Amino acid sequence: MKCRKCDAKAIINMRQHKLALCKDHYPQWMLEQTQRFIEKYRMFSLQERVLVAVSGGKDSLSLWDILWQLGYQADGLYIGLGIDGGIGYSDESHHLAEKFAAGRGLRLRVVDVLETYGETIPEMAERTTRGKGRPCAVCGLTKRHVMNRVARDEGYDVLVTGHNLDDEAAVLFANTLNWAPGYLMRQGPVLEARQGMARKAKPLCRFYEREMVAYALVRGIEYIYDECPHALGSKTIYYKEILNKLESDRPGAKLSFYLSFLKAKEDGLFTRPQQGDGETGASGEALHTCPTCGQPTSAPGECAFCRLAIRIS
Amino acid sequence: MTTKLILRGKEYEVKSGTTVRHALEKIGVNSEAVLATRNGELLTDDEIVNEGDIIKLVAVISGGSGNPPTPSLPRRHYRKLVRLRRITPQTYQFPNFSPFPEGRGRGDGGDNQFSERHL
Repeated sequence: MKCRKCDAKAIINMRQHKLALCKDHYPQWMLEQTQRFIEKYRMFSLQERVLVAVSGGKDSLSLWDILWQLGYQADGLYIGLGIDGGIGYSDESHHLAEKFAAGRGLRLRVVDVLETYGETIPEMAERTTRGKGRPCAVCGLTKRHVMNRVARDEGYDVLVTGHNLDDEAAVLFANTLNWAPGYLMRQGPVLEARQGMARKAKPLCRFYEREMVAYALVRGIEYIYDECPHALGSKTIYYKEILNKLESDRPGAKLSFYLSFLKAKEDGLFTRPQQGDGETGASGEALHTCPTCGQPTSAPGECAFCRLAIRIS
Repeated sequence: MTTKLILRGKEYEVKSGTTVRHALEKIGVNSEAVLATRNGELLTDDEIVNEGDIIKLVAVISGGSGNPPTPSLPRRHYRKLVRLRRITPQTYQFPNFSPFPEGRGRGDGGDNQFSERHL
């Protein structure tokens, strides 16, 4: 198969776009497309300060690399979760994130959960039934809290994450299976800032996961290849496998699923009357401000993260 | 007349002279879930695999921050056992929910550092 642009040997064929590209044109196409999505969804401008949530994985490091090449003022945030899983998972991902930043002269902000809150994520997970025995729910809660805190406290205009289309389609699939209107309403390439919450954007939301891996390989980005030890058997991976089966039989199915959803949302399919003038949570409930951290919470008093932190202290 | 395919340390053999896509079908791996490489170079699905080729497959699926699977125990029994400390969330073995063969896009071992070994 030949590159659409230069007739050289193609390294990737994106069947959903009917587009094959070579090793020179593919990274260039990724940059152009990312820039297009940033502009299309009005994510951020060159003048704004961007905080990239970096995990050491292919998506976040590739995103940081793309933003750096496009000339955005992008700093990284690495959260040390203290996950070992017999493979030194967090140590290795931290090392790779540091190496990436040092190689490009970028600023990486590190928040170590153990140093900051006194326990690692697996230890925190033992204190709660949240997540029904797996640390993933506590991990997600902590990461969201820390990312938001750093973005807000250090004056970043936007927090960006490396969610790709497969991530978005899997979440959409799960929320559609459960008909979770609150979550469906909030899903999108940009989540606007609100009471105590930083603005969030997902510049990679239209790239397939395999495209992100291809980009990382072509650019020689060293990323943590092993999956988080706690991710084994996760629903997200299960949904991704189902969606890939669909994609294999019908190229473009995942992209169409996500884009049709965004269009339907734009057309008002998932609107709901606001309850009063205030902000509402995913289930339509009024939001309150956590007295400890100032972030929004669905019930009066401390937010879920601060309740967990209080238990540790 | 065979070609070797390697995915996360697991080796498979397929008849050579076929396309990457067909070779992946033969070993039950969805081509959307992996990228095929030969001598460090990415291959498109229509590429022919030759005799003696070593095709290294890079798994692309990741993501573990979603909701955990439901325990195989009824939820109220599970919670009760946790409360009574008969089981702990950390030691309870959750069922594997994948309907597909093992070793595709899973964190099922292998090296923890990206290198040529993964290609």
